[in-house]
Parts: sequence; C-alpha cells; structure tokens
Amino acid sequence: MSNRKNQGTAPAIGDRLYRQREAVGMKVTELADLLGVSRNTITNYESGKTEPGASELMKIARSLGCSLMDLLPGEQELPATKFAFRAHQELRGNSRILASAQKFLRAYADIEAITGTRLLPRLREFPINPEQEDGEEEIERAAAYTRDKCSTTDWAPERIAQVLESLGIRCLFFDWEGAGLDALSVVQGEMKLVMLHRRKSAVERTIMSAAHELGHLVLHPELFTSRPDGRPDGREYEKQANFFAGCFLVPTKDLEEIWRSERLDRLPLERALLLLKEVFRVSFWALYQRVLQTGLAEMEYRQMVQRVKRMLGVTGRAKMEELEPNPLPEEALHLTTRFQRLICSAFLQGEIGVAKVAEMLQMTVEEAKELTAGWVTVESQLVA
Amino acid sequence: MKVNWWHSALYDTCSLITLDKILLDHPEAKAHFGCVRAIEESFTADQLRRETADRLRAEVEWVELPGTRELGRILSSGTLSRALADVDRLVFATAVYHRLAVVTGDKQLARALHLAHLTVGNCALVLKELVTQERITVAKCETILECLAKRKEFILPGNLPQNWDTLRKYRFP
Repeated sequence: MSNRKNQGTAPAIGDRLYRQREAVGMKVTELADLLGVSRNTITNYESGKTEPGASELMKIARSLGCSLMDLLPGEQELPATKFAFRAHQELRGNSRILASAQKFLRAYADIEAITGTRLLPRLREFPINPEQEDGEEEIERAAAYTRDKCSTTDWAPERIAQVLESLGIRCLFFDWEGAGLDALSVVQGEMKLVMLHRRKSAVERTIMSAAHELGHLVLHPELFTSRPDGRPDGREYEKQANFFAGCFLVPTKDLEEIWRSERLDRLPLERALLLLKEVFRVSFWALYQRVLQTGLAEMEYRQMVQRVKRMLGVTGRAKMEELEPNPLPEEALHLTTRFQRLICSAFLQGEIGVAKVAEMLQMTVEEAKELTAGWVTVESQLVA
Repeated sequence: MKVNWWHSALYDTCSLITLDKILLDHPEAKAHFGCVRAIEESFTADQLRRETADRLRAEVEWVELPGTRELGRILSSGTLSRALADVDRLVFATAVYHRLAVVTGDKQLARALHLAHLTVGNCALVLKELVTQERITVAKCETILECLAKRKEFILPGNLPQNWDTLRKYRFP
C-alpha cells in the first residue's frame, strides 16, 4: 500500500474518488471493506492526505464501477450517473449493483464511440403526478403513443429488448445471484439503459419488468436522481409503472376486440386468460389484471389464485412464479441485444481485444476468450 | 546464444492464458519462453480463473506498476485508444515505465506500444521465431498449434487453418 504524502496529484485523485463513490452511493466503510483497508485509508485518500498506489487505484475503479482514467487527474469526467431501479426496499442503494450498472453504462458509451454508432433518443416522456387520481387515461395514452413509436417490424413481447432499443433505450441482460432484482433502469445524460435480470424461468416476469421500467422512464423522469437513496418511496409510482406496462403489452382496444370477437366471456375466466396468453404472450397475471382493469370480467384475486393452483395441481404455499400457467419456455426470450452485437462486431473487426470484451461484458478474460473463440469459429464457418 | 526479444517480456492477460494452454500440453516448452513477466493485476478474479492463476503464478516474475504520478503522466500522453481495457492500460504504462518488450495479441495495445518505441509481438510470433531459429521443429510447432486449436485457443486469425503454413506467412500487428 502506497502511503506517500501528497505530491501534487493526490487532491485531484481524492476529489475524483469522492465523486465516484458518491455517484454509486457507496459508504466509506463499504469501499474500505471491498479493498480490505481501514476506513481511515479511504478518508485519507479522499482528503489528499495520502495517495493510493496504481494497484489500489485499479481496485478502487473496479469497486466503484468507473474507469481507471476517471480517477486519474487530467482526464475529462463524465457527469454523475443517475439511477432508479425497481427492486425490493433492501436493494435500494445497493452499491454493488449500482457500480455494475455504472460499468455497463460506461461500456455502452465506449462501444458506441468505438464503432461510431449512436442510438438516437426517441422516447417521449409523459411526466405524471403520482398523486393524480384520474391518471389512468393519461397513462394509457402514453402507453399507446409509446407502442406506436416502436419501429420493430416483428413486435413481440419475447423481443422486448429489441422493442426497447427501437425506442432509443439501451438494453442488456445481467446476471444477479440475489433475490428481488428483476430490472434496473439507469439514466446518464441522454443515455437511457434498462438492465434485465437473465432469468432461468418465468421469462414473462422479465418481459413485464422491462415494460415496467419503460413506464418509469416515460412517466417518472423525476425518479432518476443522482442520489440513489434520495428517491421518493411511493407505491403509487410502482402502480403507475405497472399499469403502463399492462397497457403497453396488452392494449385495451386489442384486448377488448379479441375478448368480444372470440366470446371469451362464455369461458371460465382462467381458461379465457390462457387463450389470451396465446395471443399476447405475457404473464397470465398481467392479463388477469388487464381484464379486471378494462372491466371485461371480475374475480377476486384469492379466488383466482385458488383456481390456478387447482389447475396446476399445486397445494400449499407457492411463489408467484410457480403459479404461471403455460409458462413461456426460457429460450423464447430473445437475449441478444444491440450491446452484444456491437461488441461482437467491434471484436471481429479488430477494433477491440479480448480484455476489452471482458471488461465490457463484466466477465473474466478467460471467459471472454472462450466467448470470442465462438464468434471467430462462427465467422470461419461463414467464410468457408 | 542470441537473447530473444521475448525473453524478458511483459505478458498481457490474454497472452498469459495462451502460454498457460501451451504449457498444459507441452510443459517442456517453458525453456523457450525465458523469463515471463507479468503485473499482479492480470491475476485478479476478474481476469483469470483461480486454477489458471495458481498455475501461472509459478511461471512468472512480477513487475511493479509505476507510481500514481508516473501512471497519470504516461496514460494521459494521449496515444491510448478508448478501445483499451483498463488492465491493458496498466500493461502499457508498466512497459513504458520499465522499457520492456510486450507479448500481446491486442492490436490496439500493440499499436500504442509501437508508438512508444517498444518491441511488441504475440505468442504466434514467438512460436514462429522458435521454428525459424530451429529451436523447435516444424512438426513440433504444428503439434502445439493443433493442441491450442483443440482448446479453442486461436493464436492465428481464427478463420485460417491453425498450422505452420499459415504461421509462416503471419505478421503482427
């Protein structure tokens, strides 16, 4: 550990370190724990009393999700990242996730700069007051407008990443071992990024989460504050984003038309919902909510849970994701994203190397070597 | 005996992985690589798997990173591409600071090192020179390339046959 006195660069490094740590809402003690140093060591770095060595700087950059260059003086700093995410209370302000999101944002900006591509912002915001009582019509209009603006030729919920990309929102899938985090949306300047948890099951939940995050981006731009713990804690925001997601994935007009033209009212509701799932390819429970919201049918939630349990042969307590009738297969969800395609393309053109692929995709260099070997092999097959 | 350029060279992470794969199948080849230098940052958990790092630790000699001020000065010299990973920036700064030759397959890093007037090559070039200097036979070289390809380690452009004929004509960067 370097413990040299300030030699001119320390104050600038200290300031940068402080700003980067604040941007991801990481406490001094958390950073100290990650680095295996004392709290005082970090405060001394930040005050310029001592200077981290190059090796410590690299560890700090890795822990804060920033680049080494962000910590070195003389380099241009990017604006602080603004975060908002859909998660349980205990995950709010989780600096490890925020650092990962920060890394992905940087990687996305890097790959766009390297490949000379830019996803143009196309999303129109419809800010809405969470206290507004008659807001549903406005939300429905916002969802319809947003859906109309999607330019994918084959709009499908399974292609939700491409749907978001067609709206100028960057999208990627990430691995997360903890519970409760389905998606995260991040804003930095004009860049909007939605990160979706790569789930092994219940991909309907991923689709819904993506549309929910879209709802926050459209309806609640004020949620994206630079203070991760400064976000208003309102269930209304969540309800509005959920309503938006439902309207976006299952437009009222389409739902009503199918319901009436196919006389679905003649069927038990759970059977009608299963048929609707064949059309809309979203969660059974999202369809249940939509049918209730549009007044097409009525049934108490507990009664519906009982019916679904009976239908699936489930007894006793069950998680909601276990109560998804006719679940979409895991492979139904299209996991390829523009982010991955740009990285693959840049690698095949020799614009980036394996270490950069690893850094951008947040995997080890060894894993990136194996991944890129697959790209090269595919290319050689195409050439042959 | 002639001292080859790679005999005290600094290896980047990718080249360390290639070296590890060569040595897994051909441990006797170690003698041809001389002193393999590396920075500790190539051995962190986000770079190498633990078992690979453990194997390679026995093969390398550590090189210290420059101090923070030197690092800042070298990295802000303006020749580095945004396409370089942070770990490669450290390899670059360390090589410049200690004036070391570098073994890397990364074209961006190789270009930056060339501009800094440092010798640079990759594992394929090392192998090629071992054959041309008659330290290993063409047959041995073919075997090494074949074993590497089986391990999905393509040290020659992946769309070309991984054999001596390709290596003979190969140039880097």
